[in-house]
Amino acid sequence: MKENRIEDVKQPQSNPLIQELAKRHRAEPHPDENVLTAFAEHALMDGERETVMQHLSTCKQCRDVLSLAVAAIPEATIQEKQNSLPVGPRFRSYLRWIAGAAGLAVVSSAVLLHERNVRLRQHPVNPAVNVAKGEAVPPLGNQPSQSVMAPGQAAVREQTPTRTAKTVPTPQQNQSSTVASLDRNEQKVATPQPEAPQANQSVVMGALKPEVASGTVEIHGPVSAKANSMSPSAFHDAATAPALTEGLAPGLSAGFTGVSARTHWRIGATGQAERSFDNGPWTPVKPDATTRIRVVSVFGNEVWLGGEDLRLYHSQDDGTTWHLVPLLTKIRGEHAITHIRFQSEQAGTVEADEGTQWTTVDGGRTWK
Amino acid sequence: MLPEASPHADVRVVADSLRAAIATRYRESDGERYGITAEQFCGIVAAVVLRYAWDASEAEKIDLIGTLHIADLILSRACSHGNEAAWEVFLTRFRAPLYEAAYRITTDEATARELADELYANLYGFSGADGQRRSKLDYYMGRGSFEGWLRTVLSQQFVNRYRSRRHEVSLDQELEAGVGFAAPPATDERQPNDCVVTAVAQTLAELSAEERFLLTSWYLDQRTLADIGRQLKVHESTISRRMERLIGTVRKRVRKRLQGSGLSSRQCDEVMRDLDVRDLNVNVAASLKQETPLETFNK
Repeated sequence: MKENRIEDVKQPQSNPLIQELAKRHRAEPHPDENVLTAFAEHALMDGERETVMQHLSTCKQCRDVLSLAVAAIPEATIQEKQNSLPVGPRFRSYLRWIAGAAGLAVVSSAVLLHERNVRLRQHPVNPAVNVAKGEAVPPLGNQPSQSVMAPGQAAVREQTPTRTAKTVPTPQQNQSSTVASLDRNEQKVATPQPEAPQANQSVVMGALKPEVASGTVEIHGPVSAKANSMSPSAFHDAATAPALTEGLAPGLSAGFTGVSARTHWRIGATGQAERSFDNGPWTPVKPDATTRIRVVSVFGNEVWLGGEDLRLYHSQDDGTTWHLVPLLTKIRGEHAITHIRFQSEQAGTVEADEGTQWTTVDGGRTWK
Repeated sequence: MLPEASPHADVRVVADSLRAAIATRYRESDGERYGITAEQFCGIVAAVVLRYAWDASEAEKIDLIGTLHIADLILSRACSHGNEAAWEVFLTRFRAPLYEAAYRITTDEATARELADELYANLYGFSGADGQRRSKLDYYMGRGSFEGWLRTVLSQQFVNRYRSRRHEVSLDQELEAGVGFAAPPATDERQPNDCVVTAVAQTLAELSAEERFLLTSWYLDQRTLADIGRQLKVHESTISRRMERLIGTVRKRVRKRLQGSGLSSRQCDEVMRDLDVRDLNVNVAASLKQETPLETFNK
């Protein structure tokens, strides 16, 4: 279709098409400036648009006003609107394919990430830190590759800059609002989280940091005075594994068991396991009033407590109820469970202070 | 017949479901910042609904409320009420774009300044028919963006000004500028065949409003494809394809009607040659029966 409209050839005045187009068919009130503006911006309801179009097809004055108003739009705004979703039947049909492809990409990514997490859980990195004699339990953050931080915070720190950087300004936005949102997100990340673990150096997102993907968090308490003549030392706590799923896509978090509230665990000064929900008060958990707990391990809703006298306690409901797990042993003397590691809900290893290990593959029903 | 435009409506006529929708939009807005109370806001939005959706269903009314540019609406009404903070925002955001838009419309700096100043005066306030001070800002209803509305108002102003002054041209100046005056059409000029006129009229009547709009914009107004595309918010190439398809359709249907009325194929070819719609340059002086100016404004 050629654009050069002005030509020397003139058609006879009798051209019936032109005459017919030029006829005024019916008199209708002119649409006001609000309606014409909404028409130009595609903001009219369907019925309204049809009515206005009908009027425009017969009213040169309104066509001129519309044409001038649209011609007065700055080029930058036109370019932004062209970069946004255009209105056109052909593009609408492409949209379905694009939406389908995008959905497929999201599902594929979720599946790949989940499989990767499963593989990483089978080959975990031990995040545990053994208590040094007379020293405070160091925050896990001192070992950057193994540290744990508030997952929500982690999620914000990792995801927000990318999301913001990818933001495409709409005609309603401008660059300053995008920059402002960047600033707001950075400020949000900088705000310290109450009761959050000390470490804030790495991200607990299995997809991003493969070395912290087991989902098991092991917490150690003080060595008893009877065993090593140590004074009680500082403790740290960590969020339970379910909380680690925060910030992940819903499809990814489905692979983890967990409660919706964030549960924190620690071992108190008296050797009791203590629990806190969502940064609330710490309450002691007493599967056994007399046994001093030496290690806490959490995987989803599954909580394991290991203590003196080779006591092993297991809860399947995030510490609400407990049962004592019998471990067959030929060890003599007073020994304690000092390490508990679970790679999944079913498979894990328990270790005593002198090195004896017990392994289960059925969630603790039987041990080898 | 549409209700008369009014900046405010009696909130007592607003249904509860609409009140809830209006209240939601008020919470999103910064009306409090500009001294617009929830009740006032309800009245403003009720006026919009009454004006544009008075006979629509409740769901459509709620949809309409959801599409309004609330921030712009609040700002315009606050300015209308004389709120200084609102005027500060208005001048910061819209002063320069207004002058730029006026220049794009008029393509002449002096006329642009005059047009923009005239609009500013109306925005600040004018005396209504009843002697009360009114502001043009009261007539912004939030259907489109505020900036878009200002451009449309400028355009309307320009069109009205041009229409009112087109008879004020100096003949001496026109002659000096070398403007020629068209001779009246020859009386023995061949008139179209009645059956052709009928075939064309029937074909055009079958077209949709948008298709007629395309044809009138292209043939009567001599708009470019890019211009038409911008008005319909589609790409120029889309308009080009649509026009080609449309013209092909018109030709086929006219030819079919001519054959149906008894013309032979050869006669149809002769007639269609006269009706060759592919290369048209129209002298609208004689053919236009609408009372509109001869020239378009966007040369």
